[in-house]
Order: sequence, then C-alpha cells, then structure tokens
Amino acid sequence: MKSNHSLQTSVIIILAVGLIALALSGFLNPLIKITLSPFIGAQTWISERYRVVQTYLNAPADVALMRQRISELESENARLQVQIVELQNQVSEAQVLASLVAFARAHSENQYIAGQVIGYDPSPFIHYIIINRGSDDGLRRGMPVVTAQGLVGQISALTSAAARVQLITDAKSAVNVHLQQADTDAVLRGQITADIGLEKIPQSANVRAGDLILTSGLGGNFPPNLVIGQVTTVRKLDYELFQTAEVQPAVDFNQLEIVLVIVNFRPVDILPLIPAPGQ
Amino acid sequence: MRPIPFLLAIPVLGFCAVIQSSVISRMPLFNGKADLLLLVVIAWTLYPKVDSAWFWAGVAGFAGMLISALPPGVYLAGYLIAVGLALFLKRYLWKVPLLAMITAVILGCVVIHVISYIVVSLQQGQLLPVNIVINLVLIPGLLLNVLLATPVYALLRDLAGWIYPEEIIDDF
Repeated sequence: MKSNHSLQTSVIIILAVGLIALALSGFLNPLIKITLSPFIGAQTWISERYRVVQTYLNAPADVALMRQRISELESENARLQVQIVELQNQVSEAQVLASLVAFARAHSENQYIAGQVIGYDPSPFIHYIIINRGSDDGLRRGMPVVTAQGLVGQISALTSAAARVQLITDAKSAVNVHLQQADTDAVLRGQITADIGLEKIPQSANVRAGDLILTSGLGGNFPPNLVIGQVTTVRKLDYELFQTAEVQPAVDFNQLEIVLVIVNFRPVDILPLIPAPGQ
Repeated sequence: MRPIPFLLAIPVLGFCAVIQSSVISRMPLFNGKADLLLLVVIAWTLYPKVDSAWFWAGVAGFAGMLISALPPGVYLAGYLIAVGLALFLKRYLWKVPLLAMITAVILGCVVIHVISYIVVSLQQGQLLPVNIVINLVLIPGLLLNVLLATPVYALLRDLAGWIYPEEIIDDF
C-alpha cells in the first residue's frame, strides 16, 4: 500500500515536471492556444457588453459635463471676441493719434490739444460736432480745430468739459482761403448738404480742378496755410461778377474721431476796424 | 398727480439726448436724421393714462437745446406743438394707437423741420433751397423717424404701463 502511494506521487511529479518543461520549451503552445481561445472569446464578448452598459449608464453625466464645457467655451469665445473688438478699436485710435502726433510735429509752430468727438448736432440743417474738451483744458471760443488731413472748423461754444465745434461745412461758416496754384483769394462757404464751395473768386483768376485750397489768414479767424481741400469743378460765367467752384474737402467729416484744437491762436476781432456805412 | 412720471422724464430724456447726439446723429440718410426725443415724447403722450405729456415735451425741448446749436426755443416749440398734435390725434385714433403714433411722428417731424428751416433761413438772411431741403432733409428724416416709431412706441408703452398700471375692478 505504502509503495503504491509513493509510486503515484512520483508519477504525478514526473508528469507535472514534464508538462512544465514542455510548456517552457514551447511544444505545448498550439494546445494552449486551442484551449484558451474559447475563454478569450467569451471574455472579450462579456467585456464589450459591459463597456456598452457602462457607457449607457454614464452617458447622462458625460453629456451634462460636455454641455457645461461647451457653454464655458462659448462664453470664453464671446469674451475673447469682445476683447478683439476693443483691441481693434484701440489700434485704430492709436493709428489716428499717431497721425495727429506726426501732424503736430510737422507743424510745431502751433500748440495743440487733442479732443475726442463725442457727438454730432441732431439738427440736419446745421453741422456741428461736440468734443470732450472744454474751458478747463484751456480752450476758448474761436480756436481753430484741425485734423492731420486739414481744417475741421472753429469752436463756437463751450462748457467746462466740452466744446461745440462749427464745421466748415456748416451753412453759416465762412473761411477766407487762398488757392495755391491760381494764387488768388476766395471765400469758402458751407452748404446745407454738407458740401463746401468757393465764392468771390475773381473773374481774372485761372482756377483749375485739382487746385489746392489753404486758409489765407485774412480776417484773423484762422491761421494761414491750413489745408482745406481741392477744387473739383469751376463755374465761370462772363455775366457774373465772380467765379464759383465746388470743393472736395481733405477731411472726411462723417468719420471724425479725434481732432486737434490749436490753442495758441486767438481769432482777431476786426469789426472795430471796419468803418460803419456812411463814415 | 403722481410725481414719478414727472421725475422719470429727466433720466429717460437725458439718456435719449445722449443717444441722439452720439449715435443717431451719426447715421444720417442723405442729410436727414431721426429724432429720438420726438419719438419718445410722442409715444409717451399717446399712452391713454399719461398726464405728464406737456412736461415731457418741455424737458425734451430743454435737452434738445443743450445738444444742438439751433437757437434756444426751436426744439421746445417744436416738441410742444408735436405733443399738442399727438393729444388731438389720441382723441380720434385711440383705437389704433400705432396709426396715431405714425401720424403724429410725421406731423411732428414736419413741424420741427419747418421751424428749423425758418429759423436757419432768418439767421442766414436768405431762404435755403426748398427742393434740397425737401428731397435731402425732410423726406429722409421722415423715413428714418417712421422706421423707428414702432420699436420706440413698444418700449415706451411698456414703460408707461409700468408707471400707470391697469386697475383691476372686481365685480361681484
């Protein structure tokens, strides 16, 4: 009995060692593959089904998370869009200011204060703008207002922090000008349609389209040699006393953003020097 | 007489004056411009229970005088006449308030343009060209005002409804 038991144990040990040796040496690989493949197939199938069930059960939480993330990204996108617009405005303002600084440096004989255009006159019959500088900034009535392109107008009224500027396109505006190529003087007047035209051009003057128009300084209302615009069309009729002309202004009055006020120029009141009728 | 409608005139019309000067006046059609103060005053006047229309016209006229270089009194006279016309129309067109609004806006716009035309012509010492004023100023201005009339009327009706709530009468 004892010997039978020992024999069985020895056989089992030998078989086990033999199987291990065969497995390690690779002879049993095909058998292992055939044996394990149904188990692997079953495990794969069960694992996939479990993943589907898990995804289905977790879907509401994922969808809610994604929706929240989308909402956060949309609000961040909107905030960045607003920031882009603000930065573009700042860039545009910086460009305008740079051109005004260049203009001020080129015309260093004058002193300037920059003002932002904050409003336009609501009446369609007159042409005025409102700037955010006033008497507290050293502005006074009658000071000329310019941009880098040319003459804009003249301060007509002001408070401590704002000023109203009469544009040269206003029908009541009159500017004494000099035509550079024709070398003659004339009067620039605004019209209700916001156009500007020249009057009182002598019949003997040879005015042509493209002639540059500058302030003449006569009358003392504006300093001389400020650019106004160019002649576009000339009207010359022999039976009239003077020629007239249409003018293309150098300044775009619909796009005014920042203007310069010439603060070291005071208009001269020449009315006392004009003799009264009958004298 | 309740004080709130009178007190409300100053911030509402002040805000409208700022919007008129800084936004509306930068959007002309040819040479015509919308008049937000006129629209607000007329819309306020046409609400059935409003009793402060004349006061609102006065405040709007004062606000117009502050933001415009027109001689003082032009906007005041214009808005007072416009309110008078609106009150007259309210009696006969009370069942169709939007029609009353548009009619009052057209009449009010014409009145203000006529007053402005006369005053500016007197200042210049010569008449402005009528055909240009009508074609490039009046008609485009009328169009812009009529376009804005409906939304302004809707907004002011809600505001007036909040100030003058409907009375609920229980019948037992």
